[in-house]
Amino acid sequence: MFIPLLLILSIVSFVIIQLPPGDMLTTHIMTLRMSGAQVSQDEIVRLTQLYGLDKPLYVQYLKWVGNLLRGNLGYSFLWGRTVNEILSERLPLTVFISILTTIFVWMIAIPIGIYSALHQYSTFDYIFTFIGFIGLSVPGFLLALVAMWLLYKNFNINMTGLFSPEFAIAPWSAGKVIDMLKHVWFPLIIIGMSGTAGLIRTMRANLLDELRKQYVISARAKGLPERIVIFKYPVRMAINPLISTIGWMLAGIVSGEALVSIVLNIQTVGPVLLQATLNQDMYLAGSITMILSSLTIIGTLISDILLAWLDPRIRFGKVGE
Amino acid sequence: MRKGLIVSLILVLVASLILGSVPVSFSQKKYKEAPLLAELVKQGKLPPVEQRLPEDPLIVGPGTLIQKKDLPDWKVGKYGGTLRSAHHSPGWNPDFYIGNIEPLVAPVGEGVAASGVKGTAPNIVDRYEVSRDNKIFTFHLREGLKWSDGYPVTTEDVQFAYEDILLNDKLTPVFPVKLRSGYKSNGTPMRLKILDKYTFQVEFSEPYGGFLLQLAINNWGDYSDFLLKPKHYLKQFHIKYTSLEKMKPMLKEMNLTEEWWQLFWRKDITAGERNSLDAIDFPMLTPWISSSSSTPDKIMMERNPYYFKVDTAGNQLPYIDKLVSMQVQDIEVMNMKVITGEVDFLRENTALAKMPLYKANEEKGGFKVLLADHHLDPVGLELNFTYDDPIWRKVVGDVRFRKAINMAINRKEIIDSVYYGFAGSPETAAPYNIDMANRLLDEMGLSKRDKDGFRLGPDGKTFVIFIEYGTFVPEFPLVSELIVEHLKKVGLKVISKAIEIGLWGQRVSSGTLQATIMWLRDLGNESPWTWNPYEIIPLYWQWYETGGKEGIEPPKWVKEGFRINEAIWASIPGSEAYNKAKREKLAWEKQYLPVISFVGKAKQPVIFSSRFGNVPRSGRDIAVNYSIEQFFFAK
Repeated sequence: MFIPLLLILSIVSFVIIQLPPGDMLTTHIMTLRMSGAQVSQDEIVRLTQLYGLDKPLYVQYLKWVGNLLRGNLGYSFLWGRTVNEILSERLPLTVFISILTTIFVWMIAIPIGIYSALHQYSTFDYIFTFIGFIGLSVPGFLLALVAMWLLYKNFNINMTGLFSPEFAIAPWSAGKVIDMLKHVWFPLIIIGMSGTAGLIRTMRANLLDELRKQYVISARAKGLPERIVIFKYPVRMAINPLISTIGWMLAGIVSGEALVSIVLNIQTVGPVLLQATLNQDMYLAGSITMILSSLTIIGTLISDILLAWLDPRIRFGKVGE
Repeated sequence: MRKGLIVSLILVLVASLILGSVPVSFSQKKYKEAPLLAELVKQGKLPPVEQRLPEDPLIVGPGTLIQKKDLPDWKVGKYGGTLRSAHHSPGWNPDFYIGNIEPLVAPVGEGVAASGVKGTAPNIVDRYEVSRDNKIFTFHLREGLKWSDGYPVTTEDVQFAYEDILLNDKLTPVFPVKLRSGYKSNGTPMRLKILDKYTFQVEFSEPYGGFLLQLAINNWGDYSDFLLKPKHYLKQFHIKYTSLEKMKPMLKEMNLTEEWWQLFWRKDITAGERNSLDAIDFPMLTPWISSSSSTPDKIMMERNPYYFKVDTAGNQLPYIDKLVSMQVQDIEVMNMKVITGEVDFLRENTALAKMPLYKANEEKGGFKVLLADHHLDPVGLELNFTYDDPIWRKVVGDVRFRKAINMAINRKEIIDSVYYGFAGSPETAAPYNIDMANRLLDEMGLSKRDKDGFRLGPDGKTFVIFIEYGTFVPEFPLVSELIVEHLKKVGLKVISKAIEIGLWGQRVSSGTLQATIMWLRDLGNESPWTWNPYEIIPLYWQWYETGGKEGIEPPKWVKEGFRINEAIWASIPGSEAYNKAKREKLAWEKQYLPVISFVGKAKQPVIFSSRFGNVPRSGRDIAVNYSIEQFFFAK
């Protein structure tokens, strides 16, 4: 199943990028034109040949897939370097931020979700619900812009990027890491905000469903301490839907939160993908799409395994069949 | 013997005096250099500044790079500092690009296409001559001029550019129209004659005085685009000098599996590619060169130790050591960087609409904003005269129709509401007059109206102008909304629609756009055409280019335009013949209105660090950008 799926994915990724009118070259010419430079006919012929755009589409596709198999993701016209280089530079930072955000989100959302469920309709439940809905309804990039402006206006702090200007161009060093840690909390909170809100709601709803079930009542009736009643059974059940989201979370970890990253100027993969798509930089956009889709498939597999491991019912269900 | 000893002693003395006097004569020139470079000279990593500069460096003083009226207090600057900037597209900083342009001959004067570049002056060449019939151009390179790696620049580099690149059909599939006689796509290609180590001649078969204009400013190009290439560096990627076997590892490394010419193209850096990764190590003649740690998201340029300009006190330019630009993924964040003072210079990515924001933060952010003159007419209407519809062609081909539109546009409203009053009327504008516009339209037979009051075309259906414009300028949608209303007042139905720029480009090149909104008269395209002929008269243009074999024969007034076009390109910029042809063109333009320009003389904010010296007070934004090598940190 895995390989034919990937093959179809590769065709879809490639075709989608070719769908809009024009190609990478017309976009490039327009960019030059916007800066006032006209591209003459002779130059267009030269560029078409340089990028191999004069070859039929299937030849371009086969060349790309052939290279993919050998681990070569192709060349980005926009960046003037190989896709491998671009990704190897940005992936570590992206994964770092995404994992940090995920931990942040889970650490905050799960306890609050449990608390809200256990104290349904209490004052704190209302407060969390209120904040949660704001987090859900306000888009992350807007939140980022407003927060950036407020920070500048009130505290004269400029949060345009992960590094202070003096470290931005410096090579990696202990000082640079410390500088980054000083800045990373801001995107963390902004990106985490909507995730947290969503997760609180899911956790609360799941747990509420479970709490009303009969096994909870019988556990209580048997005199189990309240803490064990809650954490050993319904919480474990309520977490299941969260585990099954790992499927798409894995892709999210790699691509990062594109819009917020753009606004906060963080050098992650998301903005690169967006820019590549806009510029029809076909190998870059195609390769990232390919990686993300493969990760979704792998992620789904992992979450299936995890669920089976966590929840005996799934394991036994299979045997029963 | 004794006597002999004395004589030889005297000889030694004299010889040592003579030898000793050589460094003395060098030091008499008293060139000075940046402390950064002096340190490298001390370490023996660089030859002394006298040996790095050409015999006759270009001397920059008051009025050299910026006219005195725009910069009355020019000063000898101080060395050092890093200029910080920001860019949006990876590996592409438009301000660094313009700032590093070094044409063979430099444009003199300012002015847009209508008023004209006033002439040309030596820049990379120290003198040049044009034959009386404007066909033969003789250029003399500065003797002792060196590439940024210290290798001498000679006519061998010119010969290489001509014979091994321009005449190689792999590297030049189509001979560039810029280098064809008369700037015509069917003109005969230029011929090159090398006279000596520093002198070369370019010959055309027809008068082509505009060739100087091409070299100076057209398309914002410079020496690197066609005529001067570092042979000693590029020959390692050329099949004539290097075997394919030797290039194979490089081809593989660069992910090119095809042919040697792909490698060559990547390695041959032209003016627009100086911030790309391949530009590292590429020998240049620019004030700053790509630093080895530059990446597309962190562009870094460092000073060229062999740059050929000095100031009046003998200090080698540029004053500023480094240029650094960080990629910003969102334009709004670019403004954030400006107001927090993280940017020392910004031209292209500023916006008039942000003026209040800039002004409010000037002091806090430590910068100054100059309202410079924009180098183009920012917005106008283009009608495609050869759009495939006989009714359309008949109506827009009637000059009364264009005149009526020109009168019906309420320019004051556009200028006040979109440009905050920081703009003026273009030269071809007519006074706002609705009655006169209505009368003209009635006269030409568009007097019948439909039930909504819109005029009917000759076929009895409502006549519609369908404007599609690219989304690359924030003002375009605002202006298009206004003109829909303006033209409604004279009964013209206009539908305007923004389309994605890729689609726009495609529609333009296929001639399937009816009408569009675009900027006009770009100084960088000091073209006699105030518009792009592909956009507006594609089939007439085709007729002209193919000598009447394809396309449609244009009406008389368009042919007249072609003739004036030829006259302008044949003459030398700034000459009497040139000025006469330019005046003719303006009169022709006013009479026939090939395009309808809405706004002229617009302003463009330019951001400077308040620590900068040699900052102009007025003038064109682009001229300011050209003079970046004389900026310095005064505080």
